[in-house]
Amino acid sequence: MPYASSNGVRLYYEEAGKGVPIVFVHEFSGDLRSWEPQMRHFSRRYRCIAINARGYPPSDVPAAPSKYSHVIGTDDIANVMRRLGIGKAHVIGCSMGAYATLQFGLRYPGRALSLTAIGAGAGSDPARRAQFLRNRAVMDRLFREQGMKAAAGVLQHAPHRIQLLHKDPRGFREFWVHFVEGSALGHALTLRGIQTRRPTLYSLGDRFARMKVPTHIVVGDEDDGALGPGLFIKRVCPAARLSIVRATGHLVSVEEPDFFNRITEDFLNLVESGRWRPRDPRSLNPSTMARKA
Amino acid sequence: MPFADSKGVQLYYEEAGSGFPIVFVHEFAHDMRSWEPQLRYFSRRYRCIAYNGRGYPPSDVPPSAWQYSQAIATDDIANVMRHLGIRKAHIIGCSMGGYATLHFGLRYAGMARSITVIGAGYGSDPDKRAQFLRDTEVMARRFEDLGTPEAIKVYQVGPARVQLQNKDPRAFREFCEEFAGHSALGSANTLRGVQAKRPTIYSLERGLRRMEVPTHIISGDEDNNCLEPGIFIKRACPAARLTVVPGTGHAVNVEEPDLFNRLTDEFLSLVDSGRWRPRDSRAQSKSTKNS
Repeated sequence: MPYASSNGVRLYYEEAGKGVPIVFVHEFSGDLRSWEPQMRHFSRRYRCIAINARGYPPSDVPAAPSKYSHVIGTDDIANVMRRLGIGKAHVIGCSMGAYATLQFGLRYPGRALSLTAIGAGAGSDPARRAQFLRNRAVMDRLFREQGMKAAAGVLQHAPHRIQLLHKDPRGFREFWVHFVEGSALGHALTLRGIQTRRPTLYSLGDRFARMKVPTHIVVGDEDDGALGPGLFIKRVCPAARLSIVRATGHLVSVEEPDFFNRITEDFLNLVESGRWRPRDPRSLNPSTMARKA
Repeated sequence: MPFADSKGVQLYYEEAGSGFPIVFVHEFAHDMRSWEPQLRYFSRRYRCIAYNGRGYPPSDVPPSAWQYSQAIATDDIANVMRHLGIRKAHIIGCSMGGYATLHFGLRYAGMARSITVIGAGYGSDPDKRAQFLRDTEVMARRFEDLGTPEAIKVYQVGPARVQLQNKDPRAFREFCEEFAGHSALGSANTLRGVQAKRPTIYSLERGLRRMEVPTHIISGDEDNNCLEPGIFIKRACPAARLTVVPGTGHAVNVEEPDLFNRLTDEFLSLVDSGRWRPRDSRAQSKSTKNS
């Protein structure tokens, strides 16, 4: 099985296709298998690499809490690319992986051809921050004391996951089976080290305003915690475009693979062709009219 | 030329295809010609009707602003349908036509199988309300003083129109040419009677919470005035789904006809098949247990 080492931690990855590289970064309750519809589609034209984060077997599950942070999670992307001899790649991440993808754009802009961030922003809303942290603490304890099945059971019908159950019960079952196969220790440490400690997206406004990497923010219209942050990034970052996907929850790439692949392909084509442009400053005029005719 | 009578005002319309009806309601700066890509696509399966609002020749141009209002524009949809013997239709509207479509869903729920609302929300933001009203009156006066071709020069390259200019200069030229042909009187009356006086999206909350007509809200991600109103409708109305289209301004159907047609086709098929469902109440919990 192929592994890339990141500061002594072995990260499992899979590869498909050849061409310009795309790196896929998964979310908290999934692993690289959640990118299967993307691997099958994009490997026809791209070299696709999907990584299992630390804490997600077959990747190592370091036991020390200090081995998990959003900074380390971002460095892991860069280190896997280095091991594979990849200078630049399109980076696509979902939820926790989307957060890492955005951080990658901020910290490694020279190595990102583009960023696609799905469902990023949980925990950013100041009004719900305390509740977010409380939920995370409860979940941390559940993973530790009662194991994967009990903890995952609490999460599976979360308000932004129920959409998948309705529209694709087979996809939902697969999501559940993969989720409970994960490491309880890895999930607990990921919650504590990454999710509760990462800076909120709103606190990164100045840096997004300067970031020039072509960026596509994708959010489901029922993913309440990600709508505000999505609008925020669109408005603050001229390099960002925003898609909100109808009647969809958190995992847009899993819930709507066909639509996600299509809008992602449109975006990658635009960037690859050299015709991508940042937002026209004329579109920021607060009036409905132009400043000058 | 075919006209439908709406309380003495003659409204011009065109029809294409046969099947279950779709009625298209245009925006302020466009007329029914802006629906051409939709008429060509949806007429393969639906009976498509596009009409010109009052004030847009060949429709009549009533001379006074009081003959134009949000309520009248909404009634005009119902009267066009009655004239054609249509009891129920999918209604699709853009911007000003999106407002009328939303009001149609609220007031004529029994006549709407679904509503699709593109780029609605201008004038809703309380912080920008005063500026919106100022802009609207400035534009109305420009139409009266300068005539349409000169008046629209500051409007056609407004902040949510430059996207079309950048991505599809051919479509942009067509938009400007058609816009320049509009009636100055009709445009000024529409601005004063409909746009400046219509209620904001936020003031419709009570009705939206109860509305059960399947609803699709569509906005461009650079159409600043429509983003929060879109999210507001999504959260208030369990029957609403929301799409925001990347790198796009105001008239999504004109800027991104391919994506718009596909999204709309899918939505209409879901409704027609009887499998459409409102938002699951479990998806509205305030708690986000996970991400």
